[in-house]
Amino acid sequence: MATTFDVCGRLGVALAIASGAAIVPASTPATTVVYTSTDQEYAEVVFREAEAAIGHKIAAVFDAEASKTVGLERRLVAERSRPRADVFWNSEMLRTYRLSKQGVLGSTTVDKSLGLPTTVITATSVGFGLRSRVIAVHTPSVSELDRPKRLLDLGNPRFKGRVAIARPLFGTTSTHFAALYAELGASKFTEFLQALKNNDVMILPGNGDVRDAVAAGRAFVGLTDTDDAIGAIRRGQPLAMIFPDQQGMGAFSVYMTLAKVADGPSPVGAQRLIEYLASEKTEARLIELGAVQIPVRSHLPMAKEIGAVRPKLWLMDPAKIDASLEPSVELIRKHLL
Amino acid sequence: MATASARALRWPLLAAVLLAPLLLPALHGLGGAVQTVFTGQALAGGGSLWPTGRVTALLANGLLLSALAGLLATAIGALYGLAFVFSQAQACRLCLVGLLTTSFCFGTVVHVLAWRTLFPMVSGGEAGWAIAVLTLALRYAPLSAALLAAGLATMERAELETAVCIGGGRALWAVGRTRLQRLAGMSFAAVFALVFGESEVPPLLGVHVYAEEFLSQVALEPAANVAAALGWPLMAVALACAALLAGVPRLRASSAGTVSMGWIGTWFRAPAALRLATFGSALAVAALPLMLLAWGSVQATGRWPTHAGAALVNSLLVAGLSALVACLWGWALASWASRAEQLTVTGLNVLLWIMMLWPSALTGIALAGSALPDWTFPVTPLILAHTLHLLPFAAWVLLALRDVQPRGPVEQLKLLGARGPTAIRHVHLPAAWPGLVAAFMLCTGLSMAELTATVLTVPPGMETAILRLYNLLHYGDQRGVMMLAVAQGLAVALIAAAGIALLGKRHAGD
Repeated sequence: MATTFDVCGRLGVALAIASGAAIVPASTPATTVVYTSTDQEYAEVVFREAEAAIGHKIAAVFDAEASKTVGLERRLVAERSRPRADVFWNSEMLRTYRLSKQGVLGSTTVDKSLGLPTTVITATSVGFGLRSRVIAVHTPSVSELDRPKRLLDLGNPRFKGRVAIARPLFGTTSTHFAALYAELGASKFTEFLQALKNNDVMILPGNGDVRDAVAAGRAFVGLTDTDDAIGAIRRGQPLAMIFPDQQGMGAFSVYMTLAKVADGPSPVGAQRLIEYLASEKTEARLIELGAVQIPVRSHLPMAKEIGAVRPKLWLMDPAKIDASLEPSVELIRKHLL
Repeated sequence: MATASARALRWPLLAAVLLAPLLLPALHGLGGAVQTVFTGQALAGGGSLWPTGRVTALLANGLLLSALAGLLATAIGALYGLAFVFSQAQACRLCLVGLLTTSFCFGTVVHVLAWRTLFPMVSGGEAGWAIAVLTLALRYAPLSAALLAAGLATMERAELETAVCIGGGRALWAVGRTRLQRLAGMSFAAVFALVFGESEVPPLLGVHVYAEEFLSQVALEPAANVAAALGWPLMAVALACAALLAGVPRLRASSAGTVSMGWIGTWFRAPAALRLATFGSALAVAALPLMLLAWGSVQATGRWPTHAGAALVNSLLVAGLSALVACLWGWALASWASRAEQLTVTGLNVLLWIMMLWPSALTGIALAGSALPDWTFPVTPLILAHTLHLLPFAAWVLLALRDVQPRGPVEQLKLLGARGPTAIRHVHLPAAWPGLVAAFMLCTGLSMAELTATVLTVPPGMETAILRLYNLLHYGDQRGVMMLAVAQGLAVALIAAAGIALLGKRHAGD
């Protein structure tokens, strides 16, 4: 005898399983699946152009900053036994390195004619498109003379209670702080953290929140990425950006990475897409759009907001940053949070 | 005898099969967490399983924030409840429920964005605390109102009428007080548990809490199961609140009763000025987030985000389908629970509360890694993730409203021999219809606000409104965010209004 429980339960299961029929996105063998943490506003434009160029349909999954701890990196690990993605286009390099260590990524090579420097190429990824860590300044509140020049100036008491950073356990801020630990050593890194703590630094969820806090004047200075700062400048918000430590180690920078997912369903499409994205044309296009600001190919122009003079940049090997991540987090927890 | 035992076992077994996608990853996660505790495994970045001084402060902050938000949300929920009782016109109730559903379906970050238009400079201190409490309380107040309303709706009308005949208002208060106190406690516990798990809104306002620390560890640990061990305070709070809430909705009217809220409203003839003031203030509070977002989107510069319309349509489709599946499963569970022992119903409620408080990230990770058969569709994991998120809400609405339906006609038709699909079509479906419509509209709205599991399970090439909204937020397009949030809110409000209109039409027809 059929009961409500039987009928509804079975109908529910059937509907859940068959639900895709109504809203399943079109997927064909000529579809290349890409997971990307690059901002959707930029990546979508590039994908549309790439589809025409490589003759493959591109199906993308975009990350959401709010899901920073459980986003695409976790999804790629979870799907390891049955990969659905072909390409991982990451907006930085540390998470790509960590995924590579976990065996999620396959061998990735590109043609030498693309002109990428060897420093950004590994066995499992290729790098391009730089973004730097900059100090965003609220222009109505801080005169040009008072603007910080070095990262350590964020600990200066004249900015007490008005300094914002993203939580240094996520995203590019955690990469930056791990690199600082590796470069400065434990003792000087601790001093920097203590100076920030003594200055009542605001610790916000993400770099976008730092940009918004500075643009609104809640914070006078904040540590963020060039793409966030330039986005605000282009929207006419009262914000200026400073590349710190131009007399010293330079502004810490990260580069985008492209990697083939191990055993991805469409290796041919993956190779074509990676070569398209790593090309000079795409790098120039991403600079024009605002996704990256400084090319890895030195002959390409930078974002116009930076000016003509290439700032002094500081790059670090992701393996070295990864090795410093845990000890830096221990000190951050002890002295800053 | 053996057949009876097998029949009795069939329901729990079928329920276990239905809930397996949630229970298996949950058990796996718990297993990893327990293993971490017993092996004394070191956590990444100096994380500690047992609270240090700093972590104790974060725990205290989280507990205090949750308590304050729980109290305020319950008070606001009571205001909404009163407004509902006082307003006799169907259109007024329709308007209020539509706004509450919309407000509840905005994510907490969208609520902060709305409040930022009024308080752009608040970044911490006492003001930050105050805005955090207010924002979170307003976000969860509709849940409080729903709990209070469900509790009041299932009070026995006969008992209330008897109390009024014997001792007037004083006797009525004596009858209702205990239940109201209990419902207020439950509302407080529900909001407390949900706010304790909030990791994004408090730090935006300068309030640092334990949930933020937990997410940091999830980011650092290579294995999510190991990080899950650090989530024990969240689980402890969830379990404690689930135990407190296990009685909801133990609201069965033993005698045939109709919804008693309307009766209370009719009996309690408050002065017109009081009715107007209560309803007006409830409407203003409920509409505030939507109004602030609309105002903000008019003030800011920018354009309607590209493809946002398609994303909104996708969201509506996913939400509609997930809500339909959740309602069917919820109906199945409600139908089973109505024949089960009270202890079993309590157990089911505990399970549903754990499901509601269970981080959807863990469900998403499990479904992303699951080996669903090849003949399933790419969107199936997304629908399943949303369905599991919605199931508790659907089940409770259906349980609560099923229990307030007059049971006489159902029993009579059963005695006349209506069985199987015929009984479902002519007996059970008409009886469950109000619950199904109410559950469907609530679930559709909630589904549209689900983010974490969506990121983990959305098929490549598909976009939903919530993903678009958060990407715009990160990009810094505040006007785009506000416009999309308003559009999403209006879509949810329309669904709610259509649902209520449908119920009203049917009620009139009856």
